[in-house]
Amino acid sequence: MYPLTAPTTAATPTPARARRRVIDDPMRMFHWLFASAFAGAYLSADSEHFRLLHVTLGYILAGLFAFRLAYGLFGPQQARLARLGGRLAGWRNWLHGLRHSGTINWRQGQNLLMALAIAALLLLTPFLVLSGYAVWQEWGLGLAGVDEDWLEELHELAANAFLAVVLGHLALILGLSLLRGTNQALPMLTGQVEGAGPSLVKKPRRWLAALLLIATLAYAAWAWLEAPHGLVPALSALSSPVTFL
Amino acid sequence: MQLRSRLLKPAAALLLAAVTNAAAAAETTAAAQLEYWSAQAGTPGQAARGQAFFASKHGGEWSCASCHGTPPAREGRHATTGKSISPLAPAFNPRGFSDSARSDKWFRRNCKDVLNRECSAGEKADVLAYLLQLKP
Repeated sequence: MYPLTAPTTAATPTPARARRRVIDDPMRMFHWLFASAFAGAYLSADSEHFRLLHVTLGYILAGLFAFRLAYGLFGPQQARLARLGGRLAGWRNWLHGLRHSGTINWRQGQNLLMALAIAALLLLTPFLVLSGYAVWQEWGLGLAGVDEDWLEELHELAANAFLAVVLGHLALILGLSLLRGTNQALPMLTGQVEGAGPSLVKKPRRWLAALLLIATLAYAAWAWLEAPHGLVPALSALSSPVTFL
Repeated sequence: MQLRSRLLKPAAALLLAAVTNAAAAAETTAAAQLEYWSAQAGTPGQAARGQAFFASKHGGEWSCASCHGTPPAREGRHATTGKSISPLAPAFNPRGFSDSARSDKWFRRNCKDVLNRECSAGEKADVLAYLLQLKP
């Protein structure tokens, strides 16, 4: 036996922990792009310097939402919107259990709250994006006798409602992480949870996640070049190719 | 179905709140706001000081005039988006300074854009005195 080709350390292999895939790559990519775009849009909302950045992030939210709808209608089982609806419909069973057995199914209740937060965010998105688009297009000005500001107020209300649900979602994740002793945010990064069992995700579809990222970045780059002074004023030199060449 | 109406009700309430809020327009005038900010500042607003304030950059990238023009009696042009902005001077824009919540909001936002801070009561009084002086 040659020591070089047969390492003796291989005698004690570390046993691989059982893991199963629960969130596929496109869903994770969607989640983080969507979260970043909303955070960026919320933070850039109050300044005229960042107006075009804010609007671009709004269009990105709209595009990502369209992807989520399509993926939720035609995508794999675990990403289906019908499945989210099914999870929400579980509240009847939960209430039934509460009334008739007198015991609270905490775990199911927690999962219901999480599904409710996700559904609320998805339902608020069209309000948020369309009211923002209406403000940008100054639709309110066309209505005689009506203050154009009602559109802005509607947009602000939708954004604050969205933020409130996001904070609820984060509080829920933090609370459940403490309660269950496992990091509940980690699966949205790794796509996996620990434990034996069948994987919900059959195919990771990394190519689709990459496509979503490329499409988002390409749109952002195009918007940056189209903007007269770039999207971030401090970096406006980047928007003018002439200064580079 | 029950679930759907439960989710739609808050959305409808949201819409209603925004629309009824809009009905509360035209509850003040530029002159009334000049009086208010002068009282807050403890000294009457001065048009000449307001004009100088309006045209200076205060160490930042923009002045008020960068978007609203000089004099702000015509349509302005947004410095980053290029969109047109209704004339700021009330004599040229019947809706100008007709809603105190709206005025407060835009003073707050735009002062931060120009000065990196909110405007003082005296600065608002000066700018209003300047804007009221502009006549066709």
